[in-house]
Amino acid sequence: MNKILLAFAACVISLGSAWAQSEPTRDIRIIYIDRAEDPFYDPPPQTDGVIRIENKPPMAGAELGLKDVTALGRAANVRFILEHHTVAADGDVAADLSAIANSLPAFVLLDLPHDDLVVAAKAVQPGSLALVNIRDTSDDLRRTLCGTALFHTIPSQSAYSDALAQMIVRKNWKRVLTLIGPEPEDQELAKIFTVSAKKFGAKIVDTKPFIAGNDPRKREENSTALMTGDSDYDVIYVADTTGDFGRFVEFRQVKPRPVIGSEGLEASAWHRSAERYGAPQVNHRFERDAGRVMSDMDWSAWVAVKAAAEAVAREKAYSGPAISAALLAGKIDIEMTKGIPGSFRSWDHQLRQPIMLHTADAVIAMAPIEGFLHENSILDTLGLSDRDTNCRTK
Amino acid sequence: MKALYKTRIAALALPMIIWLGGAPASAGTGLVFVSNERSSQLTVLDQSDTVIKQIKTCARPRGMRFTPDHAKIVVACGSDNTIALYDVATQKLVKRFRDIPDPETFDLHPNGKDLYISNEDDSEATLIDIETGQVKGHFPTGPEPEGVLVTPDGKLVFVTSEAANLVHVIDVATQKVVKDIITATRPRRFALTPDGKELWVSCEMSGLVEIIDTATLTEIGRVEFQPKGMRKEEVTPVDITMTASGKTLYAALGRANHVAVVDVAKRAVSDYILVGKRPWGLRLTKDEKKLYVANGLSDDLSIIDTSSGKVLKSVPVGIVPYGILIDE
Repeated sequence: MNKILLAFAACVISLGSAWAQSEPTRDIRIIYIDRAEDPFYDPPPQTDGVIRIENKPPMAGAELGLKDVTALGRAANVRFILEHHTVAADGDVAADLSAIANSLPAFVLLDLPHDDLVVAAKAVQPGSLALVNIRDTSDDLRRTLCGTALFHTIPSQSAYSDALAQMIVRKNWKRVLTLIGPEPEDQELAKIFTVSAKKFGAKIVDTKPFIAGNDPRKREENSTALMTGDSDYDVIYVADTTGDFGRFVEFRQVKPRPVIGSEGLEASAWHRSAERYGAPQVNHRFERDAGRVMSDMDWSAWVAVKAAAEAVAREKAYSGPAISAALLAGKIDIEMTKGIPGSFRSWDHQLRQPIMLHTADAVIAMAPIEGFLHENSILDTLGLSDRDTNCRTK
Repeated sequence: MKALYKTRIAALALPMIIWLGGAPASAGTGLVFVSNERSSQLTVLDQSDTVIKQIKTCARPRGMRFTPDHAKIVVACGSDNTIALYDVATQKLVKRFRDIPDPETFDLHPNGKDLYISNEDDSEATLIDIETGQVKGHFPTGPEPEGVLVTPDGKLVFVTSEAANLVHVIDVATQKVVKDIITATRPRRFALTPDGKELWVSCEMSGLVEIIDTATLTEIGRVEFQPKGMRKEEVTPVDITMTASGKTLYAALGRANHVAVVDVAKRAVSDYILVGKRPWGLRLTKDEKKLYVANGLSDDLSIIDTSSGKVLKSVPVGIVPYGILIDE
């Protein structure tokens, strides 16, 4: 009996020495930066009857990311820490960022307005620290800020638009009627969609500007029936960032043709109803912790933390410069729960990723749509290529 | 919190206990069982590979295994937090354990009663005694634990964490996680060489199988897959299965729509067989002449003749077929 016990004890000891888990030897600091009184998070106007979802800070996505990489940290002998820094309402982003950079963090997430992102990108020495935009989809940030410390995990408007264009070309709904709103943002969306349509071989057969309202003298611009009755098209593209016109297009159109863009079939980085590749589990974890649906921004924050953790665990990149370099080296497959591993583009530091095409309650397709090919990665069929930016691949 | 995990045996268990006293099932019916996770049913095929029955099950059945006597099938139902046991002969539900949070797959300890389960939503693995229904242990894992393998000697349990890219090693004697091994991206399933020395792990998002030395618990090699005409991103291996001799490994390559045939000794791919869409579940017949493949995106089985490497037949089953069992 004693012998058996002894043998057992010896076995446990040898096991302990060979495989023991050690205590974390390093802290990896991830800083989440936002701005006080950011109007982006003001409750949206609810006076026009349009149901708008209030923007919620994607800190919740970063927090889930941190939770999800805890076990990986244990295996890599590190501890991931998420710190929250808020720039004062009238504060200087550049000054705050310099101070943060001097404290040598490993990685930074930026939940900041567009103009702050531009300032932030230039406030930090390129290559010294990855600053990740988890919120702004503007193409110009990708076009003009190449070579800076700025990375993007949220897709660009072009990527969303390309996904829609791939879908309609694949369906052979190539003749498009575009309905464009009066806001500058609407015009910008339509402009980007025009480029996407041309890129994939769809044809914009007619374009109608619209305005909201019922003024009988402006029927040509506010009546869906009049605007959709005369031309011959396969699909209607709506560019409407306000939402008060677009929501009435589907089923008021004269011809039985589908609606895409701001209404109908929409493009997103992420959706609550995604049901493949482990997405339901991520949604479920997020909803359980945050008490709300995971947005594109939440997902972008979540995936950014995961990407940093992969760089730490796989490439032993423990510092700001090392993580930045590891992410750009393209050697890490970033698991995004969208079925295809991601990586960062060398020219504009944009995360390559599939785009979800969805209705309110179902993901209809994932772009890149089957059949669209690229010499480098099929994910490069979506969004800005190095030729579309001022950046060049080194 | 603890009380939540307390497992109760449903009323259905009563007739089961009486039945347990009876003779164990015989040599095998030759029936093939397929779990369909979206239509919540088991599809039953006869020896001629014809569908003879669709059984309604608990919600989202995925992992399946026979009890050692082949009398019952243990099924993990993720959406209603149930482990259910079905009688092979009558194909009826005989027992179920509730409140097992989101079970996906599991493995049975050689002692025939300790079931190690991955609880996908709860970042843990649990140990449940399938005779008493008692939950005997909880093991912390990374998010989305998936594949579970108990070594034939019953000493170690391996669990993958899909989202954390880890293989966790549970020491059965001490009931502790003794090591987390960093793997390639999205580790899913296991196969062990017959000598127990090499643990093969499929890594879905890296398009490869990693080989772990079970003595040192470190990676010692890998086999990458690249069927002709397929993009690297589409090569997403899930299930793997090894022949009894340990000479050949089959890997279902997911979106690449192929099954890879691997020479285990050479650690090299010898063939790629075109099957349905997103093959992920695999099962070899005992004589290893046929390989059944569950195609998750085309809702069918591809049945491969292993000697010629050709698909003999495709059989529509339920929605999103996941696991396959053959009673023989």
